Formats: sequence, structure tokens, C-alpha cells
Amino acid sequence: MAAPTVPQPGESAPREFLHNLRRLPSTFKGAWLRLGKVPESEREESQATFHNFFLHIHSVRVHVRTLAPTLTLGLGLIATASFVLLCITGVLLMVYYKPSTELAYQSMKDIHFTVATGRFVRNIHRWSAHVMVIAVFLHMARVFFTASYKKPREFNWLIGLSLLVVTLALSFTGYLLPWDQLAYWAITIGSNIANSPRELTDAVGITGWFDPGGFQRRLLLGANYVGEDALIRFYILHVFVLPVVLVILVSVHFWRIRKDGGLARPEDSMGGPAEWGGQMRPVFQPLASKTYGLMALVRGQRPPVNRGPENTLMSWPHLFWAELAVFMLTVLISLALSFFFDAPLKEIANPAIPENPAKAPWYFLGIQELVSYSAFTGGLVIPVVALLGLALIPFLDRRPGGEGIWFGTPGEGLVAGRSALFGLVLAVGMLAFTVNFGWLRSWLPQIHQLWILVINPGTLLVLLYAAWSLWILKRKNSVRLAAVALFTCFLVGFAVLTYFATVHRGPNWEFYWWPSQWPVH
Amino acid sequence: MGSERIFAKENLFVFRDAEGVYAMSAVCTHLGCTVSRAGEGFACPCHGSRFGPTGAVLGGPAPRPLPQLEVTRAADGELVVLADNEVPAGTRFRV
Repeated sequence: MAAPTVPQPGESAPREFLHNLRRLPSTFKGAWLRLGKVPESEREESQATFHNFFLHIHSVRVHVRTLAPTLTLGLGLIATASFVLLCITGVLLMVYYKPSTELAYQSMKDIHFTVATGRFVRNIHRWSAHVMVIAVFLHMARVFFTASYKKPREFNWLIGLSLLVVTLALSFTGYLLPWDQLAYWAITIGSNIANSPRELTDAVGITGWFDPGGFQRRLLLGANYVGEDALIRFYILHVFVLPVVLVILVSVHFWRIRKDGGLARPEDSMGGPAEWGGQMRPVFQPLASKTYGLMALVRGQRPPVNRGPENTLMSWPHLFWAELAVFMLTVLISLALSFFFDAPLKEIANPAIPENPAKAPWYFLGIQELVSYSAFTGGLVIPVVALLGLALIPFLDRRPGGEGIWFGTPGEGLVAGRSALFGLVLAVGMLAFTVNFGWLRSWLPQIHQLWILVINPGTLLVLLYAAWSLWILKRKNSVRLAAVALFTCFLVGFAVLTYFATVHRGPNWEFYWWPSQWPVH
Repeated sequence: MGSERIFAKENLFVFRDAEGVYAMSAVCTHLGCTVSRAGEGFACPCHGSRFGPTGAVLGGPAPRPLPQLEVTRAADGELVVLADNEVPAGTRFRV
């Protein structure tokens, strides 16, 4: 028991001062931690959760299914943890990085070779970025294959998609900053993809008075060429605009998880009466919007509400230990990668000649392959159509069932497996055909560009995937299974294109079995 | 017979043949990478566009031929390429 804080009346002020000074550590601890000790009862554990700014975004109790590592694989948390790492290392890099075409590359060299721990900090930044991109992709796949986007979580699925776009935008703006060969030619290609609606407006001859492509390009570059204005724009996007947008979206994402009733999971069995207080009592169903007081949260102190009595656990300590473990694991992975592998830095930007081949980072290589068929359809139309398709899923698939269970809809595993096979064969076949026989332009050099815009390996692949999905829709009579078919096809197609462009594309974007066969320049 | 000179910094080629001098952009009409010599014609390292000796598209994603650029003579008698002015293919500047 702590000694009384308030001195007795009649004590002198100097004594009161000394008394307070002696008690400073414990009064500070009390002011800081509020609870002031490790919680010992469930009541105190509840207080520990909602009396703490960082913990109060969690619910006090968490469902046992939510805690099972196999449900989420911790992917969302891994993405969040790597973002935290990225913010910390990013600020450190800002200390030395100079966003100027004259100085940027040299400051990268300084960070790499001169600044104490600079190389390590930059490595962490680079590898955490890769971890974040992978985690975000896998997190989306996890949410999809556990049907966790279904009502009432449609909006959070959309927030998640926006987060995917922002994550990729952060990666893209980030790898431009070193102003090396990769940076310069990526920004050139990226801004020309923004310009690529011209491929269409040129083909139909209206660019003179309607030129959205040119507008987008000038907006990105701030000029008609890639230079200082472009670098500053990308720098501002990378270190300020996009991180702020991401933090806001993540906050909404987390908030909506609570508001949508926690992570998606199957309905608890309502069954008959539940045991409580040593007796069987009827389970009563609360109103959906009811807010519960503290008394309703503590084990054994409440009537069973809407469930069998004990399928939740206290967030403190169960959830927090799990979160801490995932966080530590992410840090460990990033640190280990950073210790063993240095982040690449190419030669200084040379506007005269790109590297051959000039390859984007892995997550954009699938798009680079599509772009090598047509800039506008591959670089803008197909990605936008894919995003719109993803956004529509929860609004088209509205039949409840399977939430929170991997491949939980009857027949889903089979459809996913067959779709993966279909997507794989089709993508590989399309690539093999294109490599061996070329495409329209090789056969008919005079052909109008409109034909290539509309009919190219990318659009054919998308159309065939869509046809497969429609066939599943009709045959299996299930919107969910049609969505599974399409999503799986796209996932596999994306993986095949990424692999193909990574391994089998060489100088002049020609096909090689292995990079070791590339001709020496 | 003919000769060819590459202006790497300006991203263009200048050719001379029996009929005269002409210049061609080395910037791929697809997404702006710099093309380089590949056999008779030109190839783009970024997405694999192929161009013939006069810049016509032979394959790959490029929507338009490599543009031919205007060649003219400055007041001091020097030949200059006006890199912003496209001229029809086959145009020659007689010297």
C-alpha cells in the first residue's frame, strides 16, 4: 500500500516539497501509466486496455478465432510494422538525402559509404518496403480467401484497396529519389505511362484539343522533361503527402475493424441456454448498436450475451503478446535482410542511354510485361479495370457465408485450384505464343494502332479470365465462386507475368531462358 | 553509301546519304527510352520495340515510327537539328 500522498495539515512547505520529491518516481509512474502497476484482475486488464492511448483502439476482449494465427497470418500487422520501420528509417535518411538532381546521387553515396550506420539504415528502409509490399498483397489475398470483405466490411475492403494503391505509389516515388539509372528511367517510363492516353487520342486523332495524357504527364513532372521539378514533386509525395494519406487511411482501416465488429468470423453458435454462474441460463440477443459497460466485459460477471459464454479472451495480455510477437518478427526479418544484403544503387542517372534491359522493381515487372504490348492498355486500362473489379467484389457478392474461414464457401477450394491451373496454363500459353510468333505489329507492320490497343496479349488474357469466371458463375450458380475464379486467375496471372519478366526478359526485352545467356555488351 | 552520327546527349541520330542530310529522334515513341542500333534497324531496351533503318515500327508496342526531325542551316552556316520539329519521313536537307 502506498503512503498517503497529501502531507498532514500543519507540515511545513519545505517538508512537503521534500516529501513530494521523494515520491516523484511513483507519482510520475502513476501519472504516466494511470493504472500504475501490472494488471492483476480482468477488471484491471480492461482498464489497462482502454486507459492507454495506444491500446485503446483495441477492444477489451477478443474472440478466440481472431487470435488464431492461422486466420490472419498476422499479415496486416506485418504491413503496419514495416510501415513504422519505414517511417523511422525514412526520417533518418531525410537528414542526409538532398532532393536535387545535382546532389541526390552523391548524397546516396554519402549515406552508403560515409554516414555512420547510413548503409544499414538505408538497407532497412529498402527491405522493409519490400516486406510491406509483399505483406499488403498477401493480406489482400487473405481477406479475399477468407471472404472477410462481406457485409458489413465492404467499405473497409475499399479502404484496403486504397492502401494497396498508396503503398505502391510510395514504393514508386521512393525508388526515384536516388537519381540513379533505375530512378531516371523509371520516372521517364512512369510519366510516359501517365502520358499514354495519347496512344488512344493519337489513334483517333483528337490529341490536338483533348489531351488528358499530356496533362497528367505535366502534372507529374512539372515540366516537359524529367528534371529538378519532377524530383521535387516525387520527393514531396514520398516524404509527406503519401505517408500522411496512408496514416489517415490506416487509422480509418483500424477504426472500421472495431466498428464492423472485429475480424470476420463465423457466427457463434447460439444454440440453447449457456452455462453461467453454475446454472444454465437462456442466451439473450442484444441490439446490434448497444454499447456495453465495464460490467458486461468481465468473465463470470455477466449474463451470456449473443453467444456461448466464453469464446473471447482478454486483449491484455493475449492479443498484445501476439501483436508484439508479430511486430518483433517483422523487425527481425527486416534487420536480418539488411544485415546480409545491401540495397542496390545503380550508376548515376544518364539521360542519354538507359540500362539494357531497364527493369522495374519486381512488383511492377508484371505491369512492365503488359506495357510491352501496349502502353495505354497495359499501363493504365488493365490495372484500373483490375482495381475496379476488386472494388466491386463486396458489392456484387452479398450472400453471407464462409466469413473468417479459409476457402469457407462449399466448393471453393476446388474452384480456386482449377482456376489457378487455368490461369497458369493460359498465362504461360499466351507468353509462349507472343515470344514465338510476335503480335499484330510483327505480322502487319501497317496495322492501325487502335487494333493493338484493343487486341493484345494483355487484353486477351483479361477477357479469357473474365469468360472463365462467367462460366463458373453460370455452372456453379454462385457469385462468390465466380469471384474466387476471377481473383485466383488474376493472382496467378500476375505471378506468372512477374516471374516471366524477372527471369526470362533480357536485353531489348527479348526472351532468354536464363540471365546467364544475356549477350555481353 | 551513307554515314551516321549519334548525338547521345540530344538523343538523336544524324544521317547522310546520297540525297542529303536527315535527323531522326532516338527516343522510343512508346515510353521514351533511348533506342540503340540493333542490326539494320533500332531496338528499345525497355519494352522491346523494333524499328527499321528509317524508323518504321517493325514490332513491339511502339505506336508510331521514330520521328524524323527538321534539319536546317543556321545563320553562321552550321547545320542544326530542330529537335522539336517533326518532318515527314523521307525529307532530306541538301548540302
